[in-house]
Amino acid sequence: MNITIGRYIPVQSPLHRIDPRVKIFCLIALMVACFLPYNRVINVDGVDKEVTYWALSAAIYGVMFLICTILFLVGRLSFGKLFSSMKSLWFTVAILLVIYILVPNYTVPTLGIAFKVPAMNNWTVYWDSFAGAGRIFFRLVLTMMLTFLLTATTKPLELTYAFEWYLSPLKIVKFPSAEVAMTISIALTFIPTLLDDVNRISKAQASRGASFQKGGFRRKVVGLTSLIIPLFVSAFSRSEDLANAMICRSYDPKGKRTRYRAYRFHLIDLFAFLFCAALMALAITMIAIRFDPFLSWFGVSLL
Amino acid sequence: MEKAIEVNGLSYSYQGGDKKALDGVSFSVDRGSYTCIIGHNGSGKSTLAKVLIGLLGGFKGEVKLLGEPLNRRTIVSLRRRVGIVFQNPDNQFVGSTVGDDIAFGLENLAMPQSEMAKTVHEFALATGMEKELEVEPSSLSGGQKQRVALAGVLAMSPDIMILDEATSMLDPKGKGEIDSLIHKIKKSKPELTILSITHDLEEASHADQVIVLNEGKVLLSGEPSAVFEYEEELREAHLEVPFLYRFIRALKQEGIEVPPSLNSLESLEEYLCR
Repeated sequence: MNITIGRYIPVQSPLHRIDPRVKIFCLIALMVACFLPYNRVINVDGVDKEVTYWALSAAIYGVMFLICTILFLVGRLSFGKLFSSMKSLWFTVAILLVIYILVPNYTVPTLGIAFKVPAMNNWTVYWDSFAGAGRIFFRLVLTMMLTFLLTATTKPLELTYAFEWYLSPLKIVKFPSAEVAMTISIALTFIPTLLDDVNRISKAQASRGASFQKGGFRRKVVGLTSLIIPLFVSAFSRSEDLANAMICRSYDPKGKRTRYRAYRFHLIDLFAFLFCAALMALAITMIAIRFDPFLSWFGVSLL
Repeated sequence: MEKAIEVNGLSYSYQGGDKKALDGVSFSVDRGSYTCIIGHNGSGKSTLAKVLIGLLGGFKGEVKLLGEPLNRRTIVSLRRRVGIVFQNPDNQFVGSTVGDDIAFGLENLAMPQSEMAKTVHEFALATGMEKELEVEPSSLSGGQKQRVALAGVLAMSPDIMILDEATSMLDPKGKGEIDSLIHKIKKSKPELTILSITHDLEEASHADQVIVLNEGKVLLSGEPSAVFEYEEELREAHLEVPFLYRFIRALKQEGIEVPPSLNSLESLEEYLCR
């Protein structure tokens, strides 16, 4: 089975060294900056209307893309894996574009007419539809890049620890954050074992004549049950064994436990935290004060 | 001599099962000894291991570990002194890496973090896994995983270590490694009681005591050389006496007496050629 995205890539880099808790914060901060609506107000026939500020959006996505690219280089990650997982994106964006052309999602078009479709009663298509689809595309690409950056440079174990750390305040309301983290960590550890099981069972079933590719939908589903049921049986028996092994090694979810791995904040963590927090703060401030860089630079609003 | 394990009239039947998995089992194990429990599949030997580690409650009879009766009240404190290595290498790997797995028991015992790294390294070294501390289980062999399991149990410094068919799912190389590792551990920790549950009679021939289980009952018990005298009884319990002991028995039938202390083909060869 081929899982390229979401895999840890074991190389040495500054990104790999950043504390996982800080990395999760940075991911959220940068995502917020990507997903905020950058709008401005224009006057149409004496009525104030809020429209998307395309120039500012483009500038922000450009800056974010540049930051992500630099981070990719710093983290010594290959773009090839990213591009290969972006294949399905083109199709999504194409469908989105068609939808945006047919059902415009802007309040007022600001980018002008792209073309008219005589066959459809002179249906006017504005550049705004293209910009809207482009915005979704860039948001998706940036999201993929950011999550790829996180999962490729952080071990599953570290991620689990970070989740546990963020969930730990919920202990006040009796939320079992340590147990949840333990469950996630075991589930991640057992993925390769279960994939081996899938391979073994599918070979065993194929040797008895089961087919997972041939036939219609019905046959495929029936074929799949012959894979899934033994897999579940095996997973349950494994989980029982594992539970026994954990009990025998004195695991008590309610008892006091110490931790083998030490996580301490370093200077690089502080730097990463401040950088991302500043970016997010900047983005939020720009929206709050309705910052208009192009107006102030050129004296007129360009777009 | 002080007893590590005392079992008196132990019976156990699984829910819904009409047959008793264990039926009036009695035996005792000396402290610091190496005891093998042998038996065919379904003889009740794995059930016995589960009872001894406290995974199966509701048994009849008396079980004493390290002088303390095993019951609901003592189970948690006794588990800290009794370790077990199970059969399946995949299904007892709790941590995400070798180091985390060795540390798992120590984390549960709330050992301070500063001591833990040292202890983990010490037992990784003892089991030859010190270079793999950061390795994930999916890239380890079965034998390596069992070595990690041994390290994890030993790190908790138990008084009794139970091996529940710890080598039965390994290839010959892995099995050989684990067997020699167990002998090394036995030598370096003479006070550790080892109870090995196995169907490998070759391994049992190195034990201080052998207990043969058949259909939930103790069929034979005693020193290996004495137990292996009962070739017919063992065969009826679907167990094959190792070649060495069959050979010694054949020699006896020919009127050649061999001292019972011989427990390897090499020493026998030396004795006969003298």
